[in-house]
Amino acid sequence: MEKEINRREFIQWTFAAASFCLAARGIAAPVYRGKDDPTRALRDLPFKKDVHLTEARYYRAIGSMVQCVLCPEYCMLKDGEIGRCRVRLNKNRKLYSAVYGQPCSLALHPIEQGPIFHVYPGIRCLAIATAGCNLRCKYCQNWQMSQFGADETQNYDLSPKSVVQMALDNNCEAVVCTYTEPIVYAEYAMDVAKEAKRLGLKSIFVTAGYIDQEPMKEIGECFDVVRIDLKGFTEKFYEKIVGGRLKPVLMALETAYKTSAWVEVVTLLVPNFNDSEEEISALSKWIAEHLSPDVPLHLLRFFPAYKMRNFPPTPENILQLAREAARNAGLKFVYIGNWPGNNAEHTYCPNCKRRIIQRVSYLAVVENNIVDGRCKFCGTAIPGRWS
Amino acid sequence: MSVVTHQSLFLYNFNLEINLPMSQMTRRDFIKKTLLTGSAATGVALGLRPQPIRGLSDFADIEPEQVSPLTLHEASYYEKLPNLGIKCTLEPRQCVINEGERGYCGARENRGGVYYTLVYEHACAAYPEPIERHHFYHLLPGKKALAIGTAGCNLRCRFCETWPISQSRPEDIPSEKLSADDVVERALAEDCQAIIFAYNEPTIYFEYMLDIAKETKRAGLITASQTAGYIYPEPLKEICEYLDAINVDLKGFTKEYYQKNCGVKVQLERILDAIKIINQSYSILEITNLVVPELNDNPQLISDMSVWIRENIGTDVPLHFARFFPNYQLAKHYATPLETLEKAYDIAKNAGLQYVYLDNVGKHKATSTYCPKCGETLIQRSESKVDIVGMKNGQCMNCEHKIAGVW
Ligand code: SF4
Ligand SMILES: [Zn+2]
Ligand SMILES: [Zn+2]
Repeated sequence: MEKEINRREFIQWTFAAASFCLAARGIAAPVYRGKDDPTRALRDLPFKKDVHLTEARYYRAIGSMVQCVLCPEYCMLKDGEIGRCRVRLNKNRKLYSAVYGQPCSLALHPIEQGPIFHVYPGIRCLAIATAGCNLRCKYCQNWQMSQFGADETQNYDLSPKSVVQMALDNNCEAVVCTYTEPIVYAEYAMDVAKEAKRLGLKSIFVTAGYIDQEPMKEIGECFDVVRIDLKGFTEKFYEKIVGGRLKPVLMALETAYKTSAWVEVVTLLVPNFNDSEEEISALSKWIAEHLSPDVPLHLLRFFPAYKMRNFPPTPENILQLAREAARNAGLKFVYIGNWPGNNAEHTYCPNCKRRIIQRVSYLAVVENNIVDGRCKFCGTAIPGRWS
Repeated sequence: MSVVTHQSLFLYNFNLEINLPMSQMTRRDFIKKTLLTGSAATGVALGLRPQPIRGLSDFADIEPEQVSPLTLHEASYYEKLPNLGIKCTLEPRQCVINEGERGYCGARENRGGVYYTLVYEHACAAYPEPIERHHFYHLLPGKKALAIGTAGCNLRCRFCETWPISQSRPEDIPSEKLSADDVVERALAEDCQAIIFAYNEPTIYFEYMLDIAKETKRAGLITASQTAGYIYPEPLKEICEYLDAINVDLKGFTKEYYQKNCGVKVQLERILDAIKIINQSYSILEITNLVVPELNDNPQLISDMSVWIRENIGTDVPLHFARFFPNYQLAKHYATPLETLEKAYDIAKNAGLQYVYLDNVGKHKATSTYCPKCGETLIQRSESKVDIVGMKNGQCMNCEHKIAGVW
């Protein structure tokens, strides 16, 4: 059975993690809310004064208009109009990206913060993000960046080459495109991933999966890891809270799973909106059937943010019930996130049930009993990318 | 937690600045103000006039483009009826039009018992584009063509991808006064080797199309047209004389599909007959089927269609399955899954068709042309790149098999 850690152990680990944090400055706290973007850890970089445009891919001209076919919004843009994501625009029958090479946020953190648990545990990553998002989640944690255009954020000037160089300079082993929605800067993200691969770094794509199949396929081939949000399992939730649609996300998930990338899925449970046992159970069944029971599912605790500040955080028992439902539906690796110190943030062997990776929240891996991709105790192969 | 105070502070600011004044403002003012504060606060402009996101465009400062005044040009293919009425005999809808009224297409009008076209020399679009963009894969691969379109259409496809042009009336959208000479001149200036009639249904600007086609032939360029095939045999035969290639949009393979999604009550046979006429004419033929998920992606229908093409047209006619992207009245639909298209590809191939393509799919091996005899790659297509790799003088370089088309 799952081993409990007692209070004393927990405090010990928290302490250890805290000092670890101090030592490695730049490993940011996982949850933040407030006006400033606290993820900006590399402060001395100069900001860029203006926005420059780079021709985008995934579009087609239709008369004087342009249709962007990158995400399921398929924006039809008149001359001079900007897409829903606020960073792609039609200028003279061409679609331009206003964020290529211009991230607005850079930070260093361990891969666990993704949350990504089955890939190279503990490696240090350089996270980048640009302005813009094609969704409108009412509980967005990064709305300071995601809900603004490139002309409203302060941006750095970083070509894909410099991003990777910066990662190397900061002893990172991976580059992760995260925080906002990397889909809206897909061209940039893919160039970063290619450059990272060339220099032997891993690349990670953290997305809500609201993307057309074709770019998803290409991204899956470029990146080592694709971590996708499945934010709920009803069209209503997607329409009312997320501002998108469920169907294209499911299609993107299947597409991503078929590529060479490792896929993990995240669901944030908003109390009374998408946390019913039936919904989680249906969602997990879908994952088990259409992807695989080996796909790790992270159930995240909701914290009040952005337009949902007056809603309470997800109760702990709901998280546990949801986890049970997901496991009963057949998933082998179900984690609970945003709840430091809970027992479901560790990895347990599906066979001998022993704890094989012990984590402290998203901050650190304190024990890793996976040897050559297998459980040290019973030899069962654990799905993931371990070395 | 100190974060919490921070957060509530901002909440307060947010309310103060944006939510409160709303009650005294009109929606228009509010949007204007938000836009202004948005751009002023940052001081960083995009180098463009500030543009709102989609949906707010009505409120933006878009300078109206010039809509040129309507002009009249007498139409061909109509019969005079008593009391100044007329009957259009261009296509099977056969609109009967009273004095002062317009046909279903919105581009032809009865004035005093004479039928006029309102779009003659009024091009809404005249852009140089890759020929492949208009679903011609066996016509001058990799070359540019000038694509022409006007306002109006005799179909009402719910999935129309050029709806801003085709579903507008001539007086509602900007157009350019371009005579047939001007069109050819522009094509030459833009280094185009062909002129393609596209965007809306060229049938409804028949007179304009005919004049441009004649002029183009005189200048030694290639002419091509897209059409839905919803046209009577006589005008079709007349225009075929002047077209080197025609791409028929075979939208679905049932009468009901046309009726429900394209706004035409037509026997499917009429469209199929048009395809046969084109096939017997001097122009080369390609066929495009836009696969809309759940509406016409039934494998049985795709199989029926492929078999019909094999039996009645031949196995060497290129068949394109185009990917649908949500648009117009189906904007809330989803794009065709790649798997569906691949299945359609296999069905058509198994039915014996030699040249089957998937369009609008970016990088995909089914966008390239292969030799039907030896299987060598003849033309490699990847996104917008086109490379002729295994073909010379219309023949496979490997086995000398002749490939149908204009090369
Ligand atoms: S990526 Fe942006 S511009 Fe493109 S379709 Fe999505 S929201 Fe529209
Ligand atoms: Zn074990
Ligand atoms: Zn050959």
